[in-house]
Amino acid sequence: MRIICFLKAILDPEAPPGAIRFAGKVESGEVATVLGPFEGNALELSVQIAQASAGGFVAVAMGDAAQDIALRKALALGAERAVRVDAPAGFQDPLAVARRLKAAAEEAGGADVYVFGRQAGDWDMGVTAGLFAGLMDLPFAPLVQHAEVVGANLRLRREIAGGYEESLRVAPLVVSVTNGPLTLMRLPKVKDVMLANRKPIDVLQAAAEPSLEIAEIAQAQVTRQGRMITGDAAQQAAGLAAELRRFLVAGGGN
Amino acid sequence: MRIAVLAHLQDVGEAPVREAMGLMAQLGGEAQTLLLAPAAQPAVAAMGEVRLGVHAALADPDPEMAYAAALRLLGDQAPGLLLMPEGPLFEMIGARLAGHFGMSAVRDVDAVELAGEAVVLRKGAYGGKAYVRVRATGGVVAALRAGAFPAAEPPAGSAAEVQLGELPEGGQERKTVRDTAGDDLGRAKVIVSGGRGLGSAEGYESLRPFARMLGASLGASRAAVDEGWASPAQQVGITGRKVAPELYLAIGISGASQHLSGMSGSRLVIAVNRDEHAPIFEAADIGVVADWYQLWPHLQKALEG
Amino acid sequence: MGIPHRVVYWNVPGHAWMYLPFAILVLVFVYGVWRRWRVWALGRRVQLRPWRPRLRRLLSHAGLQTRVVRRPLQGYAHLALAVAFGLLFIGTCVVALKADFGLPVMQGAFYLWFESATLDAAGLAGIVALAVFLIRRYGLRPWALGREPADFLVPFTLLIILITGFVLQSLRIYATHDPWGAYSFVGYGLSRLYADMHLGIPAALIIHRSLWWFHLLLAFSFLGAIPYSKLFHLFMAPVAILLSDPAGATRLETPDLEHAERLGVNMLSDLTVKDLVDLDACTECGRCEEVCPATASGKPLSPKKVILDLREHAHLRPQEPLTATIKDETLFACTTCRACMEACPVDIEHVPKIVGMRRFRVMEEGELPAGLAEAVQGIEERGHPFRGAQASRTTWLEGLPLKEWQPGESCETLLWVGCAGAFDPRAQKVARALAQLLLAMGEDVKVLGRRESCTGDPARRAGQEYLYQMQAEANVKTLTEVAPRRIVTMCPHCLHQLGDEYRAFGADFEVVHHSEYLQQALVTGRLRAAAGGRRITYHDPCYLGRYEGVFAAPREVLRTAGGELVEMAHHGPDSFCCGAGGGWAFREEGPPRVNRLRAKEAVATGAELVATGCPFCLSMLTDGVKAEGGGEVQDIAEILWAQLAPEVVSESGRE
Repeated sequence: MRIICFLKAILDPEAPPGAIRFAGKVESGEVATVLGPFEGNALELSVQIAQASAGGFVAVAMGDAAQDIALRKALALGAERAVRVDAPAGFQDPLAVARRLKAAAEEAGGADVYVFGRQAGDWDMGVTAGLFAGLMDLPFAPLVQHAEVVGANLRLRREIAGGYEESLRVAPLVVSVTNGPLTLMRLPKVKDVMLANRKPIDVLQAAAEPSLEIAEIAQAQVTRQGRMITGDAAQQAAGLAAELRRFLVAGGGN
Repeated sequence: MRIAVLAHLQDVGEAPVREAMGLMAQLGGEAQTLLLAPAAQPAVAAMGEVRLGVHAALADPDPEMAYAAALRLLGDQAPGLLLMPEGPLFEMIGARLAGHFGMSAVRDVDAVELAGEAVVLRKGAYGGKAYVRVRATGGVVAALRAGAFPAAEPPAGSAAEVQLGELPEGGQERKTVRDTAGDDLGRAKVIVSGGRGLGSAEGYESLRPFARMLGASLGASRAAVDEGWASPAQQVGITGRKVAPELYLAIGISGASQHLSGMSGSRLVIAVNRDEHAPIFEAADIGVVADWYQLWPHLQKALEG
Repeated sequence: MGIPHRVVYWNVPGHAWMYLPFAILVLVFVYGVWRRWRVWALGRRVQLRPWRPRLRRLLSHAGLQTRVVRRPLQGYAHLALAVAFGLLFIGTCVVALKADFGLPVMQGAFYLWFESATLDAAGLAGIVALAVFLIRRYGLRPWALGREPADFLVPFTLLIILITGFVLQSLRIYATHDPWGAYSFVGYGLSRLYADMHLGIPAALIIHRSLWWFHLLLAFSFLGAIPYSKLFHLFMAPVAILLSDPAGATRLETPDLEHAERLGVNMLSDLTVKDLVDLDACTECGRCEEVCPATASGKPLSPKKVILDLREHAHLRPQEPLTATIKDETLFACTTCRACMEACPVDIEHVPKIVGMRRFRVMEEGELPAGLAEAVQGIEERGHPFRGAQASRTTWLEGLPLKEWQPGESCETLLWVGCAGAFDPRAQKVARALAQLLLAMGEDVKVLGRRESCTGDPARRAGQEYLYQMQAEANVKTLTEVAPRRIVTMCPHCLHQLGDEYRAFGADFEVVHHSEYLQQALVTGRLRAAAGGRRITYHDPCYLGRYEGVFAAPREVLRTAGGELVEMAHHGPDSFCCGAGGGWAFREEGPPRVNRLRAKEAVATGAELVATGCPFCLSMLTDGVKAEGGGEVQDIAEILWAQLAPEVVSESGRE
């Protein structure tokens, strides 16, 4: 099977509070750019399908040269080719992104399976895969946990509310991948990393008019003024039990 | 501007649909509610004037079926603003419909206003560390955060059924498994969540009797899901699965920003963690620095006594 | 009476037949050695120059057995046995010189005092030593000693050889009325019994003759078994000691990854000759096992078993990959604390082998335990291993008059805080205390801030050598540009990297651990501290003590500023790991945790305060000591800062 895996590197979601400042724009300071939280799962699924079907995959990212870390990771894990759709860093309209990724997919000769991570973790949109499927007019299987190659088809396990769905799906199709024990990204072999660092990354120009733009970015307040229950384990347990009882008596709970 | 609500009553329940309808009414303009349902149930009747697509297979829809059904319900002309409650239906078809109609899509929306032909939507970003307002000018599908908008009484009227006809089959040999014993985190009043600090699958399992005592649903951090201790459907902290219980207990969860964002709507947050510097304590109302395995026997006794 | 002497081969007509079994013995022996030689020949060559420190080590560790006697009972017994056998060997050579070469060496005073009296004393000492061994192994039954059939047969056979030797001697003295018999005092004593027993001379002659052949064949069998058993350590332990790194193999080898055929160790041929000789040098004494924190905490790793398993692998399936024998849970259980290497009487180097095999698993096969994988990924992506850190590189120094180095500036003292000092909330306090101490000394002190990046030590210890080398090259480049007069660090792992292992990357910096720097300041009077009155115990961090040899400085600081120093059961070079090393700082460890074992020792001293000099030890011990119901755990910098004499503090202002 031919696979195109779409990847995004983002500002470190584990950066400490305040390291990235949001005031009109995103000030990243010294925060590192890392692979998005579900991109490793997407990459792993792509590797698994490519290996099981004796096929191959192409990695595509969009953005500036900071995206290369994602593409290099893909090359180290066996991507045949890495393509970066050139774009400035920062917010992009997801629809325009999907349109440019579509252009990149066509340039790469199309694929049987288009693999996306569930959401990128910067703008927390989680819509690019669906938009892409709509633009390509292809079936879309969201939140895939596992894929098994069955001939020219894929048996997919997808997350659904409260459980999972398994079904055989016909290629070509678009999938988004969620996290789970079956798609933990493997560590690339160091030999492959060394080779990947010497491979070229193709840069592609593709334009699309945005229909969505940022009007405002601001810091959100998430902290609470907590108080601690201290003492030894028995004292802590007693304190916690008292709090829980108070809550239940007050009519909380199911 | 033409505005529509598209929802599947069964997958999110009535309240989010009423919230979407409330927002639609507040925004004004040409409004329409489109519902998908496996049958013309009483719940549908309570929603007033709606366009209703009925098909037995919508009881547990395949994404391809749901997509085809929604397209037939929407017709050729997409509204300028399509509102959908965050939930399984949006996950399956929301963005795809947007792509099909050449609209953009935004998730986790908690405020919407119209500015002439443009729509301004507010949403969380960077795992809840920031929020942004985005201006959409070419039509947009918006997924609404549960609880962010006041619910409205539906307008008087009744459901007009739309013939959906035959729906495509989608996946073959399809089977669905609900593996969380009916735990629905979105609707839970009390959630007990476990994370990597529990150390093992057995450790995670030890939360079960505790949850039972409190009548709580079981949640999990990403680490616990990646370890295979909990089902992915229990994971708290992804866009589209924000929880807002009365009480959220985080056990052995250090508190990655995605997780904190996912539980930030909880009324009371209690955290138990060995590491006093864990970020979870910044997001908790009550904190206990303790090893769960040392705490639990005492707690069990205290709660039973 | 004439010149004192004795007849050799008395009462053994046809003794020349003994050259037949002797020839067999030689063949069996040579074959056994050749079998092992084949394995050593697979290994990579090792650099032996400079010779001098190696020979010194050989003399001390093999000749004087200075490491063996660290355990006095079995140690001195072993030394006695070794000396005894040396003497008996010489005595046998003397017999051969006389019997086979006809040299008149076995007579006169030499015969009486050496060949008779000394050798009897040696034989007696040998019997006592063997009795000690047997009583210890089968009476006291220490858990780290094996009780396989061979473990019994070896000392027992030796014991029989010695005893039969004495019986032969006594029978000869008895039957020949040897006028010089009394010099062979053991044999003489025995011979006196025979008279009381009314043993007839003919019977004595028959017993003597048969026993002579038994004694001879037994001794030959024993010698022939040497290259097939742990007895081979007789020859291989000195070789292993000679080949061992005189610096203690604290610096891991820096391979050329670009041109390596295979990354890391997976075949015997990836090991060095030294590594392979080690396998045959092991005496199975179990001292490594006794001190291993992984073994003590029930993990599937024993340093002894690793060596024995590799030995078996080398002889049974030399062409197969080592992963077939050493499993990941064993490899990655090691904390690289070097206690095993410190304890080993024959200088076997366990840790380099384990890290070598880790390198293969990590770099060639992409295997790394959970937690550790994320830490390593953190170094790659963020330049530090602390997942989810709530700080930046400079958060810890906010509010301190501490300058970040800027390009073009000179630098007197560079404070290298390390990732823990920057990102771990507990260690940040240590960094602050240390920075304030340096400022109070009036030092021109700077930090690198965001230019500092992980030394790569956790990656190297985990086996991710490629990432380590990239970190090392980048840091050496930065530090070369900064060119500080000296680097002070509060992390022993950074100390070991910057000062030691970075030399392979062209680094030559003066690097000191803060304990040494602070102690110097106390001595020269740049810092003055009020005496403390607390009872303190000090935990030696492995990378400060066993790796870098710093034991005294932190204790001096504590004596000056802390109070009464009490030692834990394991301290100094025998210190017990806190459980953080080898990547464990970043892994979830199930009970029993190593830090709890160490904390138990600390609490048992009755100390109010546990001091240490490593941020990882600090973190591990803080958890452990709290769980064990002990007192506070602090870094020496914190203790000193709190006791700093007021007139010094008033100049700089205390927090």
